[in-house]
Amino acid sequence: MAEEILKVENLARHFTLGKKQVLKAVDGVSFSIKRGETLGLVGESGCGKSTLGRTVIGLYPPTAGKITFDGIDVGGKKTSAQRDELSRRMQMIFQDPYTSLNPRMKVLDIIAEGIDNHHLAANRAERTRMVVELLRSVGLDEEHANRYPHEFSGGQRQRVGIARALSVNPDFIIADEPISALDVSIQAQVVNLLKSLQKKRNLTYLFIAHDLSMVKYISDRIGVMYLGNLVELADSDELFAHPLHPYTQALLSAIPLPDPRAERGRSRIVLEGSVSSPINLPDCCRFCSRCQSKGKECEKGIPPLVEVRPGHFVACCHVV
Amino acid sequence: MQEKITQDMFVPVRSDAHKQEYIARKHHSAFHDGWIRLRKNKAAVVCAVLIVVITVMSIIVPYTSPYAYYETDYKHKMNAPSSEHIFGTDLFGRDQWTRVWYGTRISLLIGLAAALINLVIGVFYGAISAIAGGKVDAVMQRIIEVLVGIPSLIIVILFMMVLPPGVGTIVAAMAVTGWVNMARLVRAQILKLKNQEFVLAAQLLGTSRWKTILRHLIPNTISVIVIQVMFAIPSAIFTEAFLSFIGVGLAEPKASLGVLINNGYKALRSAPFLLIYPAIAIVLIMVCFSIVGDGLRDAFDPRMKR
Ligand SMILES: Nc1ncnc2c1ncn2[C@@H]1O[C@H](COP(=O)(O)OP(=O)(O)OP(=O)(O)O)[C@@H](O)[C@H]1O
Ligand SMILES: [Mg+2]
Repeated sequence: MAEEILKVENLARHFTLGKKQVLKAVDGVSFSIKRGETLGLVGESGCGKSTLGRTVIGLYPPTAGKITFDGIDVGGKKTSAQRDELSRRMQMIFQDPYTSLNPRMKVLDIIAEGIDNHHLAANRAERTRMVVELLRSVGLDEEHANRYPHEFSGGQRQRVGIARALSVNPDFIIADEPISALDVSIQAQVVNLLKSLQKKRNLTYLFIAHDLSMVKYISDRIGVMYLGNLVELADSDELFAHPLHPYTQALLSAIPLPDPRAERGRSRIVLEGSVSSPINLPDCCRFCSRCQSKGKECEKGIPPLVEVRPGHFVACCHVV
Repeated sequence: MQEKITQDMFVPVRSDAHKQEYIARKHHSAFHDGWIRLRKNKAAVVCAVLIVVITVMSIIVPYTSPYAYYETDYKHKMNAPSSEHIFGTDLFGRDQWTRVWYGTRISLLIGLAAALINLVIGVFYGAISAIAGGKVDAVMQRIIEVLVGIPSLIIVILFMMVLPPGVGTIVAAMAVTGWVNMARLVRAQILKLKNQEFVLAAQLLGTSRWKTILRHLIPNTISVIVIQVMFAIPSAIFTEAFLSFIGVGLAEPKASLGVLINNGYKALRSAPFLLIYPAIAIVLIMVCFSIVGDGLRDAFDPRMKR
């Protein structure tokens, strides 16, 4: 059960902006995901979460590093059978429900796109039946199949997007901030749907978000990203109980507590300074411009991600 | 006295998950939605009807009229409008009513032909540029910039002086630079679409490149194309009229609205009616196309509605 379905080693994805300018959106990230688990990925806007997700699924070619999905090298040369297998087994749920569905297509055809491409249905009747089944599984109805995306609310559209991802029966799904465009009550609905689908279909998730509390609710393990680096990776309870990286500590201290007495008694870590520009970064700890406990040793280079406790990894010079 | 409120007066409301998802609105495609909005735009509807009427008249009148557009009658030169000649006669005694409708037909034909050529060249050029991207795109865009840099009127006039005068020459001359706007619009639209998440989703689901172009990119570009065509028609008609007016357009006895206006302008003092009717016709056509184009944009532009 605990086998690794996805393994990412030293993954980098750089964008060349000009003659000499290189934007290191993702730089040297390693992690792995076990079958059936949910890995949450958090970090502030622009730290490279989407880029990481899109590189892992093969939308962007990696600049360096290796992605292995169940024995297939995602970033390398693939046979057409492997490409086919990847597109059936890895799917993505997108952030913006308003641009993730083609406005000129009926929901029926949107969801059936993958079914058609992989010839999963023998005839039209079966195709329709499969789509209706998918709609039901995300809490929508047969009646919605013949409608166009603009007739739906944001939450409903997001569920159409989920049904589309499920249409090819994938076992690994990257959800790129699937809830950040929705209002809070709908967020819970969508997250619960994702959880129940995971149980029913034995799915593995890479769940990208920037809201820590929602990530804790759905994830088994959580990775924290900062400017293209993975700075901490641990079981969610462990991460919340013993955050080790100064950035994680600052993030956690910003979550309001439901108990007013506890809330009053606790101190909030306010980060000074601003995020360094991701363009032409110096080769030192990415967080050092904002770190409160930085010292000489921080300038020696990017600290590696090391296991300080069983299953708890952190990349910081002080913790080691 | 206040009534006592007891527990049993309350019944829990059950929310029916199924009902929550119900959409009461009758379903329409986005196209149908746009059509409904277009019909609500009175000015656009009136103008669309006018365009149809003018087009039909320009086809019918030259056939049914007792006079041919080239038929001269030197006994009745420059006659004022009468029951015999509704718009009067010109310098050579030709029936102005027939000539105005014939001229309208030629002008519409030129406008339509020019717009269609713009459409074909512009859409292909823009789409290839956007889809290929990279170096191909850069080179294609530099070519457009060079074309934009040369004053188009000079190219057109050069063409007209070198080639034999005629409808084909005018259309060809206008086609040399006319497609640039269409190409730019189509390129911009496809570049915008290319990065939208539904195109990425299609890629992930294994949709081939060609299928992506046909199912996702083109259908979402059609409204931009149609609207641009509606603006290209009057602009071509106007360019033709301008060329004819400065004397490099069609040759007699052929007539377009521009030629008629030119002739009427020469006889402005003695026979103002020769100028007025073709002038009204061209203004009507230009205004109608512009208003319909505007109406289409308001009705179908996706920015109006998500
Ligand atoms: N195609 C691209 N070309 C150049 N730069 C890019 C491209 N895509 C992303 N970037 C840059 O890479 C960095 C990371 O972007 P990314 O979208 O991965 O951030 P993110 O963590 O997903 O942020 P958000 O929470 O806002 O979605 C940003 O600085 C962004 O400007
Ligand atoms: Mg993102």
